[in-house]
Amino acid sequence: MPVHLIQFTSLSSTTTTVSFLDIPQFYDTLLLKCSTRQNTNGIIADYSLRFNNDTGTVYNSLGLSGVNGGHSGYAIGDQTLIEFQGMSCGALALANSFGTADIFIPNYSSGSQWKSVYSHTSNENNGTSNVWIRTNQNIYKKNSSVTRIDLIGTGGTSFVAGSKFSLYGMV
Amino acid sequence: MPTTPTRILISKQTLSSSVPSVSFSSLPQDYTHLELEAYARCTAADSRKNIYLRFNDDTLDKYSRTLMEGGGWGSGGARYNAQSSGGFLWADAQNSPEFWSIDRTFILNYKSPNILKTYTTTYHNSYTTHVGVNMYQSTDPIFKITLFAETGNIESGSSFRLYGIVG
Repeated sequence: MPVHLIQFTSLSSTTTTVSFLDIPQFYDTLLLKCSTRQNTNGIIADYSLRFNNDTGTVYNSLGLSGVNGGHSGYAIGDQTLIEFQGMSCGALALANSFGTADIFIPNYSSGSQWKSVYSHTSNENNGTSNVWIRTNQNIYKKNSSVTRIDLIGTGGTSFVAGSKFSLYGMV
Repeated sequence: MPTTPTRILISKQTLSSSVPSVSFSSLPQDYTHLELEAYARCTAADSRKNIYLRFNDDTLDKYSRTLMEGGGWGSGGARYNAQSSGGFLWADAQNSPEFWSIDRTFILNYKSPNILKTYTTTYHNSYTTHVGVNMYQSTDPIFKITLFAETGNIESGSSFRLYGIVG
């Protein structure tokens, strides 16, 4: 499967929101791969995804979370964004540790389908607690094609320098 | 449409005989991330055996992992801290004939000298499907990856592909 890099962002300074604008519409699927750390005053940190700057209550999520070796399922609906809990390292995490995310968005250019979003997110710190892994299915309940993606630090937190974001188009 | 490849095959190894370990050495430092795929079995007289991973031949207790898995038996999670090797694949073995296990692992920031190395694993065998997050608590760039069977050998016919990821 050919995979093409659309945009690569490596932060050189602290940033609250990372945006992908004017996303080309000729791929079948988007893949967003992130390596992140935030200035959150904690070991773990969260951020969220929003499509097309749409702040309506149009996002649902369900998934399976593993925290410190346990596991549980969850579902949440009618949100104003897709929040990925525990996918990033906070300021109190091990120095130089970064969380990970793979986010797949099939049929993103369709103008007639709601958008399903599959995500696999995690952090790891070689400690005995505050370790998260999560696999999610999310829905953006709009038919509009996705032309913009914003990644937003939860609670006004920011991504720190060294965080990386790669948006790929898959054919 | 851009045509620059972003996933480049670095090395492919298909085993012509059973061996205790497989290594990828002198890794090029040209990419942002690595992806490792495996299609493998083990020879041990058991239903499944672990294939573990080490970076740079480092045997110190720098590896940890958290996992979730499930199958017909139910589901579960686990946490392993301060290990001398990292998780990779719980592979089908002699008592699970004909089953081949598959693994897809992403190793992020492998060449960065100032980031602890995190990698994610997704694997499937005849018993379970698994997702995991793993850490190698070192900021050293990764020049070598070794995969080794917990006991016995990795079976002939097993194949491993290492890709470099751009961006």
